[in-house]
Amino acid sequence: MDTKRTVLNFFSRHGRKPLPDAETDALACSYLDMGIIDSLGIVTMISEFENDLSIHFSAEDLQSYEFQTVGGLITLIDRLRAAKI
Amino acid sequence: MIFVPKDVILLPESTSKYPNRWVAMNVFARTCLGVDDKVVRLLGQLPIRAVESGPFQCWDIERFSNEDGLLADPTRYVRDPSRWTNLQLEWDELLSKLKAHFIVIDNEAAYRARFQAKRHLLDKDHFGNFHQQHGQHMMLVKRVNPAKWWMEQKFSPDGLSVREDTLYGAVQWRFLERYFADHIKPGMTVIDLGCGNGVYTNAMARHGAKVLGVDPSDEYLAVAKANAIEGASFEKMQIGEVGGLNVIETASADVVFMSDALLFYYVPLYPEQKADIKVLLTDIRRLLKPGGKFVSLEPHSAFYLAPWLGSAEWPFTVVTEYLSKWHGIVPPLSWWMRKFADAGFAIADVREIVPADYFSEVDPRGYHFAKEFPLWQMLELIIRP
Repeated sequence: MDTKRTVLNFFSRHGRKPLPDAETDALACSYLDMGIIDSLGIVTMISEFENDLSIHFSAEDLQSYEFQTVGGLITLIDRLRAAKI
Repeated sequence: MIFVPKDVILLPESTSKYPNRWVAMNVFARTCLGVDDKVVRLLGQLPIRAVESGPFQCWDIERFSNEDGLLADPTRYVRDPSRWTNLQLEWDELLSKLKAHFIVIDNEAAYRARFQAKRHLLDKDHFGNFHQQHGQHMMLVKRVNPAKWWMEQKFSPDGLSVREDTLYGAVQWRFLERYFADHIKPGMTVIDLGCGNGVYTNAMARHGAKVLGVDPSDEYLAVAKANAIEGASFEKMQIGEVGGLNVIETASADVVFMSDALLFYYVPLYPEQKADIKVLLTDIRRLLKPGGKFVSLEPHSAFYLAPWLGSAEWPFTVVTEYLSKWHGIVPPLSWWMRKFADAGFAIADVREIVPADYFSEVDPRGYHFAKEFPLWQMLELIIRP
């Protein structure tokens, strides 16, 4: 399963508004600051990614700055998936 | 320039088995680090500089101690020195550690800017209020369902009684047991607003009153309904919203009871919460019979969440805020009084509630602290003539 597609798909299904059109802007987007999802949406997001991608976010992962942008999230998930292989 | 902010205190924590231990605590940020005397000497410098060579002895001791319960020790460090995590740090590592715990800072303005509400669940640039810190810790670190956690930290696993091994049992329950026996009589009609899982609703019904428990949470009401005793009934209603209690008849209650719920009208539990205390108090006034009482039991305006410092038997605390709270979630007394007065209530009784003596054996530190610095206050309010 392609991480980028999975993450972008999540935001298109659950976002209160769409991510920016340009991919570079979308990847740089701080989704909570931009109000694309709210704090409760984060809980859904964590659970969905962990279940669908068979990964586990540590407390440090969840509190990292990387976790706060769409691009950072994709990089982090890719790293967690690679570590499992 | 690197320096120790004025918000930092040093607490002696040495024992004969674990000598040379200090807790460096930032009482505003509620952060701390264990340090030895060599680091204490360094902290006495201005500016902070490496006047001695490493390694430096520190201990990781900070923990979000309210994960043990909302009324657990809020002091946020590991009390047992045998469980302190030993660190041997070189100068750069030490500096980084001290900065991470706000024992030293290098920019006063940037540091002060952190004392604001968190923007969202992942925000780590602002300290945020207690609700936010608790939510962040529970959801991101402990990964627990807050509603389930709330029930477990206060009530027995079967949901039928208050846990006696916590201050909820020793202070709140022991007080209410006596209060209900003295004030709730057969034939009375009582409304328990924000009844949760209904333990107090049932306790009042046991005295022969007809008690209606009201709560907006399906999850809590399911437990309440399953455990309801004769005289107790439960309904889902949106407390504090306009028209939320309209199905209850006007002037129908001898007593309206509310515990640990009014505080959410000062600092909402979550941003979308509709919380207008004026709406709620107008409703309560409408529900009371002439001569009826509104009994409000809430965390103490000054001492709830204040750190439990000093020795177990001779506690002291440091109060860092009262009138304008950024961390605390309980309003100052004057806020309560104004709201009650504006809604047409007069105060009939005020109690600052302390723990029952049995708790000195369960948790000496908690007992002695709560005995001197009350953690709950009870207000009895009547309709102003």
